[in-house]
Amino acid sequence: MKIAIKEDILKEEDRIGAENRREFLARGVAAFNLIGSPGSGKTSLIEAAYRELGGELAIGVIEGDLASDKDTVRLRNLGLPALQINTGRGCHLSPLMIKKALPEIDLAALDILIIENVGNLVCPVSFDLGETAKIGLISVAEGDDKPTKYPLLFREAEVVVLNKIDLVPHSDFDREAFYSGLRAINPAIGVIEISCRTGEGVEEWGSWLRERVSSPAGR
Amino acid sequence: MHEWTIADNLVRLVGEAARKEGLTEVSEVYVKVGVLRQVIPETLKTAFSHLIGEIEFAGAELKIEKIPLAVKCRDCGSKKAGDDLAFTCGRCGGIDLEILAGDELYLDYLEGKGNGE
Repeated sequence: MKIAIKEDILKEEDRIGAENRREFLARGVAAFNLIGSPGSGKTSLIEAAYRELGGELAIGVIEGDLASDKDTVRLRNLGLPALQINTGRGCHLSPLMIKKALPEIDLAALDILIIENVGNLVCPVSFDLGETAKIGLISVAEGDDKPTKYPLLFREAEVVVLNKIDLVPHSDFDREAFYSGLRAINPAIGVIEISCRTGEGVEEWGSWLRERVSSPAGR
Repeated sequence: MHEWTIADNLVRLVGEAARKEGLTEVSEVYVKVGVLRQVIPETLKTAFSHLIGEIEFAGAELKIEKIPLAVKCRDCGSKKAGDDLAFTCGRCGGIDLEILAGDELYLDYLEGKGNGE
Protein backbone atom coordinates (compact mmCIF):
# COMPACT_ATOMS: atom_id res chain seq x y z
CA MET A 1 0.00 0.00 0.00
CA LYS A 2 0.97 3.58 -0.62
CA ILE A 3 1.50 5.92 2.32
CA ALA A 4 1.65 9.62 1.44
CA ILE A 5 4.06 11.56 3.66
CA LYS A 6 5.10 14.86 2.02
CA GLU A 7 7.54 15.94 4.70
CA ASP A 8 10.72 17.96 4.45
CA ILE A 9 13.65 15.61 4.92
CA LEU A 10 15.70 18.20 6.78
CA LYS A 11 12.83 19.47 8.95
CA GLU A 12 14.54 18.39 12.18
CA GLU A 13 17.80 20.12 11.16
CA ASP A 14 15.83 23.25 10.20
CA ARG A 15 13.95 23.20 13.52
CA ILE A 16 17.22 23.19 15.47
CA GLY A 17 18.62 25.91 13.19
CA ALA A 18 15.59 28.07 14.00
CA GLU A 19 16.18 27.46 17.72
CA ASN A 20 19.77 28.65 17.35
CA ARG A 21 18.54 31.73 15.49
CA ARG A 22 16.18 32.64 18.35
CA GLU A 23 19.05 32.21 20.80
CA PHE A 24 21.33 34.52 18.80
CA LEU A 25 18.57 37.13 18.55
CA ALA A 26 17.77 36.91 22.26
CA ARG A 27 21.44 37.46 23.15
CA GLY A 28 21.88 40.24 20.60
CA VAL A 29 24.57 38.42 18.63
CA ALA A 30 24.98 38.58 14.87
CA ALA A 31 26.12 35.14 13.72
CA PHE A 32 27.92 34.68 10.41
CA ASN A 33 28.28 31.32 8.70
CA LEU A 34 31.57 31.57 6.81
CA ILE A 35 31.75 29.12 3.92
CA GLY A 36 34.73 28.62 1.61
CA SER A 37 37.19 26.07 0.25
CA PRO A 38 40.12 24.71 2.25
CA GLY A 39 42.91 27.25 1.86
CA SER A 40 40.70 30.13 0.70
CA GLY A 41 41.65 32.13 3.79
CA LYS A 42 38.70 31.70 6.16
CA THR A 43 40.80 31.95 9.31
CA SER A 44 42.78 34.85 7.84
CA LEU A 45 39.51 36.65 7.11
CA ILE A 46 38.47 36.22 10.75
CA GLU A 47 41.85 37.53 11.90
CA ALA A 48 41.39 40.54 9.61
CA ALA A 49 37.93 41.20 11.11
CA TYR A 50 39.43 41.09 14.59
CA ARG A 51 42.24 43.46 13.73
CA GLU A 52 39.76 45.86 12.11
CA LEU A 53 36.94 45.69 14.68
CA GLY A 54 38.46 44.13 17.80
CA GLY A 55 38.63 47.48 19.58
CA GLU A 56 34.93 48.28 19.15
CA LEU A 57 33.05 44.98 18.86
CA ALA A 58 33.35 41.73 20.80
CA ILE A 59 34.00 38.86 18.37
CA GLY A 60 33.85 35.14 19.12
CA VAL A 61 34.53 32.22 16.81
CA ILE A 62 33.38 28.65 16.34
CA GLU A 63 35.87 26.68 14.24
CA GLY A 64 34.63 23.69 12.28
CA ASP A 65 37.25 21.26 11.06
CA LEU A 66 37.37 17.55 10.40
CA ALA A 67 40.28 17.26 12.80
CA SER A 68 42.85 19.28 14.76
CA ASP A 69 42.62 22.53 16.72
CA LYS A 70 45.23 24.38 14.65
CA ASP A 71 42.91 27.26 13.69
CA THR A 72 41.53 27.63 17.19
CA VAL A 73 45.03 27.87 18.65
CA ARG A 74 45.93 30.40 15.97
CA LEU A 75 42.92 32.60 16.85
CA ARG A 76 43.35 32.26 20.61
CA ASN A 77 46.94 33.40 20.25
CA LEU A 78 45.56 36.63 18.78
CA GLY A 79 43.26 37.02 21.80
CA LEU A 80 40.05 35.84 20.14
CA PRO A 81 37.75 33.52 22.10
CA ALA A 82 37.47 30.48 19.83
CA LEU A 83 35.78 27.13 20.27
CA GLN A 84 36.74 24.10 18.19
CA ILE A 85 34.24 21.62 16.78
CA ASN A 86 35.76 18.55 15.14
CA THR A 87 33.32 16.92 12.78
CA GLY A 88 35.29 13.70 12.24
CA ARG A 89 34.04 12.36 8.90
CA GLY A 90 31.44 15.12 8.57
CA CYS A 91 31.92 17.55 5.70
CA HIS A 92 29.84 20.35 7.22
CA LEU A 93 28.69 21.77 10.54
CA SER A 94 25.15 20.83 11.53
CA PRO A 95 22.64 22.92 13.49
CA LEU A 96 22.85 20.37 16.30
CA MET A 97 26.64 20.72 16.58
CA ILE A 98 26.15 24.48 16.99
CA LYS A 99 23.34 24.04 19.51
CA LYS A 100 25.53 21.76 21.63
CA ALA A 101 28.43 24.24 21.46
CA LEU A 102 26.44 27.34 22.43
CA PRO A 103 26.34 26.72 26.22
CA GLU A 104 30.15 26.82 26.18
CA ILE A 105 30.15 30.34 24.72
CA ASP A 106 29.31 33.53 26.62
CA LEU A 107 26.98 34.82 23.91
CA ALA A 108 25.76 37.77 25.95
CA ALA A 109 29.31 39.14 25.97
CA LEU A 110 29.58 38.99 22.15
CA ASP A 111 28.47 41.26 19.34
CA ILE A 112 29.60 38.94 16.56
CA LEU A 113 29.92 35.16 16.37
CA ILE A 114 31.75 33.97 13.29
CA ILE A 115 31.18 30.31 12.54
CA GLU A 116 33.95 29.03 10.30
CA ASN A 117 32.42 26.07 8.52
CA VAL A 118 34.34 23.03 7.29
CA GLY A 119 36.25 23.89 4.10
CA ASN A 120 33.79 22.91 1.36
CA LEU A 121 31.70 24.85 -1.19
CA VAL A 122 28.82 22.38 -1.39
CA CYS A 123 27.68 20.59 1.75
CA PRO A 124 27.66 23.41 4.33
CA VAL A 125 25.25 25.42 2.18
CA SER A 126 22.38 22.96 2.77
CA PHE A 127 22.27 23.48 6.53
CA ASP A 128 20.77 26.47 8.29
CA LEU A 129 22.83 26.87 11.46
CA GLY A 130 20.63 29.76 12.58
CA GLU A 131 23.06 32.35 11.23
CA THR A 132 22.20 35.97 10.55
CA ALA A 133 23.88 35.69 7.17
CA LYS A 134 26.02 33.31 5.14
CA ILE A 135 29.29 34.72 3.83
CA GLY A 136 30.80 33.06 0.76
CA LEU A 137 34.58 33.23 0.55
CA ILE A 138 36.58 32.37 -2.52
CA SER A 139 40.15 33.15 -3.40
CA VAL A 140 41.78 34.14 -6.66
CA ALA A 141 43.93 31.01 -6.58
CA GLU A 142 40.82 28.82 -6.91
CA GLY A 143 39.92 30.25 -10.32
CA ASP A 144 37.23 32.53 -11.73
CA ASP A 145 34.73 29.75 -12.50
CA LYS A 146 33.68 28.92 -8.94
CA PRO A 147 30.29 30.73 -8.92
CA THR A 148 29.27 28.79 -12.02
CA LYS A 149 30.40 25.47 -10.56
CA TYR A 150 29.00 25.96 -7.04
CA PRO A 151 25.88 28.04 -7.65
CA LEU A 152 24.02 27.35 -4.44
CA LEU A 153 26.55 29.02 -2.15
CA PHE A 154 26.49 32.12 -4.31
CA ARG A 155 22.67 32.11 -4.22
CA GLU A 156 22.48 31.74 -0.47
CA ALA A 157 25.31 34.02 0.60
CA GLU A 158 24.53 37.61 1.44
CA VAL A 159 27.96 38.76 0.39
CA VAL A 160 30.94 37.26 -1.41
CA VAL A 161 34.46 37.96 -0.28
CA LEU A 162 37.09 37.54 -2.99
CA ASN A 163 40.40 36.97 -1.20
CA LYS A 164 44.02 36.98 -2.38
CA ILE A 165 43.49 39.75 -4.95
CA ASP A 166 47.22 40.45 -4.69
CA LEU A 167 47.62 37.24 -6.76
CA VAL A 168 45.56 38.49 -9.73
CA PRO A 169 48.61 39.71 -11.72
CA HIS A 170 50.34 36.37 -11.13
CA SER A 171 47.44 34.16 -12.21
CA ASP A 172 44.98 33.52 -15.03
CA PHE A 173 42.10 34.79 -12.91
CA ASP A 174 39.75 36.72 -15.19
CA ARG A 175 37.81 39.30 -13.16
CA GLU A 176 35.28 39.85 -15.93
CA ALA A 177 34.55 36.13 -16.22
CA PHE A 178 34.23 35.89 -12.44
CA TYR A 179 31.74 38.75 -12.22
CA SER A 180 29.66 37.62 -15.19
CA GLY A 181 29.47 34.07 -13.77
CA LEU A 182 28.53 35.41 -10.36
CA ARG A 183 25.91 37.85 -11.71
CA ALA A 184 24.21 35.06 -13.66
CA ILE A 185 23.74 33.18 -10.39
CA ASN A 186 23.01 36.12 -8.10
CA PRO A 187 22.64 39.45 -9.90
CA ALA A 188 22.27 41.55 -6.75
CA ILE A 189 25.01 40.12 -4.53
CA GLY A 190 27.72 42.38 -3.09
CA VAL A 191 31.41 41.53 -3.49
CA ILE A 192 34.26 42.59 -1.24
CA GLU A 193 37.68 42.27 -2.87
CA ILE A 194 40.35 41.75 -0.28
CA SER A 195 43.87 40.60 0.34
CA CYS A 196 44.28 39.41 3.90
CA ARG A 197 48.02 39.32 3.20
CA THR A 198 48.49 42.95 2.09
CA GLY A 199 45.53 44.39 3.99
CA GLU A 200 43.85 45.74 0.86
CA GLY A 201 40.06 45.77 1.23
CA VAL A 202 40.15 44.90 4.92
CA GLU A 203 38.56 48.22 5.82
CA GLU A 204 35.60 47.49 3.53
CA TRP A 205 35.22 44.02 5.10
CA GLY A 206 35.14 45.64 8.53
CA SER A 207 32.55 48.19 7.40
CA TRP A 208 30.33 45.47 5.98
CA LEU A 209 30.40 43.56 9.27
CA ARG A 210 29.82 46.72 11.33
CA GLU A 211 26.80 47.62 9.24
CA ARG A 212 25.38 44.10 9.26
CA VAL A 213 25.69 43.84 13.04
CA SER A 214 23.58 46.94 13.51
CA SER A 215 20.61 45.10 11.93
CA PRO A 216 20.96 41.47 13.03
CA ALA A 217 17.35 40.40 12.38
CA GLY A 218 16.29 38.67 9.18
CA ARG A 219 18.00 38.84 5.83
CA MET B 1 28.74 14.33 0.95
CA HIS B 2 25.85 16.14 2.63
CA GLU B 3 23.97 13.20 1.09
CA TRP B 4 24.91 11.17 4.19
CA THR B 5 23.25 13.69 6.52
CA ILE B 6 20.21 13.82 4.24
CA ALA B 7 20.05 10.00 4.19
CA ASP B 8 20.37 9.91 7.98
CA ASN B 9 17.38 12.24 8.40
CA LEU B 10 15.45 10.42 5.68
CA VAL B 11 15.90 6.99 7.28
CA ARG B 12 14.69 8.36 10.60
CA LEU B 13 11.58 9.85 8.92
CA VAL B 14 10.88 6.60 7.04
CA GLY B 15 11.16 4.59 10.25
CA GLU B 16 8.85 6.92 12.16
CA ALA B 17 6.23 7.05 9.41
CA ALA B 18 6.26 3.31 8.70
CA ARG B 19 5.92 2.43 12.40
CA LYS B 20 3.09 4.93 12.82
CA GLU B 21 1.25 3.32 9.89
CA GLY B 22 1.90 -0.17 11.23
CA LEU B 23 3.93 -1.27 8.22
CA THR B 24 5.90 -4.50 8.53
CA GLU B 25 7.82 -3.95 5.31
CA VAL B 26 8.81 -0.95 3.22
CA SER B 27 9.61 -1.78 -0.40
CA GLU B 28 10.10 1.67 -1.91
CA VAL B 29 10.77 5.19 -0.65
CA TYR B 30 9.94 8.05 -3.04
CA VAL B 31 11.67 11.39 -2.58
CA LYS B 32 11.66 14.59 -4.62
CA VAL B 33 14.93 16.46 -4.90
CA GLY B 34 15.23 19.87 -6.55
CA VAL B 35 18.30 20.65 -8.65
CA LEU B 36 19.20 23.50 -6.26
CA ARG B 37 19.93 20.96 -3.52
CA GLN B 38 23.10 19.82 -5.31
CA VAL B 39 22.42 16.22 -4.39
CA ILE B 40 24.23 13.47 -6.28
CA PRO B 41 21.55 10.75 -6.61
CA GLU B 42 24.02 7.83 -6.61
CA THR B 43 25.63 9.07 -3.39
CA LEU B 44 22.27 9.56 -1.71
CA LYS B 45 21.22 6.05 -2.77
CA THR B 46 24.43 4.52 -1.45
CA ALA B 47 24.07 6.33 1.87
CA PHE B 48 20.39 5.42 2.12
CA SER B 49 20.88 1.72 1.39
CA HIS B 50 23.62 1.58 3.99
CA LEU B 51 21.68 3.41 6.72
CA ILE B 52 18.27 1.78 6.10
CA GLY B 53 20.06 -1.51 6.75
CA GLU B 54 20.41 -0.44 10.39
CA ILE B 55 16.64 -0.34 11.02
CA GLU B 56 13.87 -2.90 10.63
CA PHE B 57 12.97 -1.69 7.12
CA ALA B 58 16.27 -2.83 5.58
CA GLY B 59 15.99 -3.54 1.88
CA ALA B 60 13.73 -0.58 1.07
CA GLU B 61 14.69 0.92 -2.26
CA LEU B 62 15.13 4.66 -2.70
CA LYS B 63 13.50 6.27 -5.75
CA ILE B 64 14.64 9.79 -6.49
CA GLU B 65 12.73 12.19 -8.69
CA LYS B 66 14.89 15.13 -9.73
CA ILE B 67 13.02 18.42 -10.09
CA PRO B 68 14.43 20.99 -12.54
CA LEU B 69 14.59 24.67 -11.75
CA ALA B 70 11.50 26.70 -12.63
CA VAL B 71 11.42 30.46 -12.17
CA LYS B 72 9.03 33.30 -12.82
CA CYS B 73 10.15 36.87 -13.47
CA ARG B 74 8.43 39.32 -11.15
CA ASP B 75 8.99 42.13 -13.66
CA CYS B 76 7.58 40.74 -16.89
CA GLY B 77 5.85 37.58 -15.68
CA SER B 78 7.61 35.19 -18.06
CA LYS B 79 8.47 31.72 -16.83
CA LYS B 80 11.25 29.34 -17.67
CA ALA B 81 12.29 25.88 -16.57
CA GLY B 82 15.30 23.67 -17.04
CA ASP B 83 18.47 22.33 -15.49
CA ASP B 84 20.36 25.49 -16.43
CA LEU B 85 20.98 27.52 -13.27
CA ALA B 86 20.71 31.05 -14.60
CA PHE B 87 18.97 33.56 -12.41
CA THR B 88 18.22 36.34 -14.84
CA CYS B 89 15.04 36.54 -16.89
CA GLY B 90 15.61 35.32 -20.44
CA ARG B 91 13.05 37.77 -21.82
CA CYS B 92 13.55 41.12 -20.05
CA GLY B 93 16.83 40.55 -18.20
CA GLY B 94 15.09 41.11 -14.84
CA ILE B 95 16.78 39.78 -11.73
CA ASP B 96 13.81 39.60 -9.37
CA LEU B 97 12.85 35.98 -9.89
CA GLU B 98 10.45 33.83 -7.94
CA ILE B 99 11.57 30.22 -7.61
CA LEU B 100 8.59 28.04 -8.51
CA ALA B 101 10.38 24.70 -8.33
CA GLY B 102 13.85 23.29 -7.86
CA ASP B 103 14.49 23.64 -4.12
CA GLU B 104 12.45 20.59 -3.05
CA LEU B 105 13.87 18.05 -0.65
CA TYR B 106 11.06 15.98 0.70
CA LEU B 107 9.84 12.50 1.40
CA ASP B 108 6.87 12.08 -0.92
CA TYR B 109 5.48 8.62 -0.16
CA LEU B 110 6.26 5.07 0.84
CA GLU B 111 5.25 1.74 -0.66
CA GLY B 112 4.99 -1.04 1.88
CA LYS B 113 3.04 -3.83 3.48
CA GLY B 114 1.13 -3.74 6.72
CA ASN B 115 -0.19 -6.51 8.97
CA GLY B 116 -2.73 -8.68 7.19
CA GLU B 117 -1.43 -7.95 3.69
